[in-house]
Amino acid sequence: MTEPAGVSGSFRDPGGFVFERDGRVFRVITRHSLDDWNAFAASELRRELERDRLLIGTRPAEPASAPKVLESGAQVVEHDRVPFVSYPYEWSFAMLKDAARLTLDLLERALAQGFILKDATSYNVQFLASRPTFIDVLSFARYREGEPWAGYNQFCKMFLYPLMLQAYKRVPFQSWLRSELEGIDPLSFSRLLSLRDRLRPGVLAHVQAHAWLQQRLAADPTSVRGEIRQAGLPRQAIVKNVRGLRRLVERLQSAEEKTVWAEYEHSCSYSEEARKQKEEFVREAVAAQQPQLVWDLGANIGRFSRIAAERADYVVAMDGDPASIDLLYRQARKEDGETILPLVMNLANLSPDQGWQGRERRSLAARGRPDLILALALLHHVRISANIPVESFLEWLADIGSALVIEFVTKEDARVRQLLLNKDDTYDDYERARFEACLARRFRLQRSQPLDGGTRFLYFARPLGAGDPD
Amino acid sequence: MLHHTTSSACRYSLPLLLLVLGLPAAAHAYVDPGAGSMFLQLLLGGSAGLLVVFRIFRERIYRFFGRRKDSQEK
Repeated sequence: MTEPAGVSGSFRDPGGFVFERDGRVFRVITRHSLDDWNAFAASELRRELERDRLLIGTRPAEPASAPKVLESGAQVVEHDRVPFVSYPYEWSFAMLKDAARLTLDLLERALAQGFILKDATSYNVQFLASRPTFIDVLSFARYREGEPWAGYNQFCKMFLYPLMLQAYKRVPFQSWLRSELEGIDPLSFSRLLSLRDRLRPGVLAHVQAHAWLQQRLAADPTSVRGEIRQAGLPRQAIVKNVRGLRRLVERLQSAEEKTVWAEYEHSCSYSEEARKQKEEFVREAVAAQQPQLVWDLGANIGRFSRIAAERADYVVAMDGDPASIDLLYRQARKEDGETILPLVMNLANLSPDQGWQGRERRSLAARGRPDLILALALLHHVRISANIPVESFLEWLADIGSALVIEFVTKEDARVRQLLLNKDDTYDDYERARFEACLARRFRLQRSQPLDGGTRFLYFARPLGAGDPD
Repeated sequence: MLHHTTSSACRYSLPLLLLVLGLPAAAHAYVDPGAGSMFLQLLLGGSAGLLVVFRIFRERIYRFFGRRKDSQEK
């Protein structure tokens, strides 16, 4: 049995920590949380939430599976595995909104049954394909009458303000959340809001008042927390606030951003014939590879993610444009939602290792290697817009070690000409013969096909040395 | 475009106050930000919450007068 690797993102909670062993996920529950956990584990609430797949499945495990540092009296449980971990700064607006709804719904249900959620960080939620699931079972605690909800501040910083940033100011929240793992603070956010914004739903109460009171009571010597505890905060007050937040979140909408990308699908220059050829090519490559995990890079609104999803176990659809991923997600959510995980991801600046010792939030590469990568209608953007040399990009793909479907679009093509419009054409390496040579140095070509129209070429390749007879 | 969803009268005093006051200058103290959030929960907690606010302020008033009484008795 291999030595367990502590999941380093899980060390702050004194009530327990998560670790992995042999590809399985376990959690140690220390004596601090044991009473609350036992009460919750036995409850009807937990049964309902697991049945409805709103909460990650959890089973008892033998203490022997835990690291030797286990203290006496601690318990070990095993969780269902999340196929591909993702973080709030990779989610689109609708995904963060669904995660917020989930958190508030669970909180309200918990309160109705004598429990409460101790915290409200967006890292308590993970996406299983296109469905949000609550994973931090230790957040559930028995409700003690009179105690305020400690998660309100966190809910505002990690859910409400990012959603408002997009909904009210039309500014994407992903970059901010990637930098500030604790979320957007009330004072900074309030400074972005204009006089007119103060009239928008929720701003006066949850932003202005919050920032103001935070300032005001920071200088206050008396313990407000103690006073509140002594006076007692009634459960009904918490419920009222939670319901108000729920209504507010419901109303927040991202403007139907008709960005260049979301429009791309409609204005694409493929002929009907070329489109069919491309779809068939991808379908056949997926069938030949039988992948468990597919990465669709530059997925746009997911046309080919869906094709891959017909046969693959899991597809992570990535694109740097939040509006496209949002559309992809809302569509996938309406369909079965079991296979495609959409993520906002900039290829030129992938999610890095983050947090304490760079180990709390993992880089993209560390989360699971794909069996197949789709790089369709992508290379010209990588080379011409992002200025990344063809060689370098293919090297990165080869290092990942998966099979590849890649499309080369020549400079004669209308869309590439558009990219080159205001630039000097210094892209000598962006040329089909050179590309094919570069590809052949690192991959073994399985199939290639020119598309109708003469400017687009598809390639299906496997890494060199992957099962190659030598 | 005023979009307030609640009709409770006690909700308007706070918004109006803040609309007028805006925000204070930058804070200078080090204390947990949680206190402000907890207090805000009371303000947003409808009549149940406001009752608690009232009780807290009543306690403070009692304490204030309590001290005065002590000093007079000495």
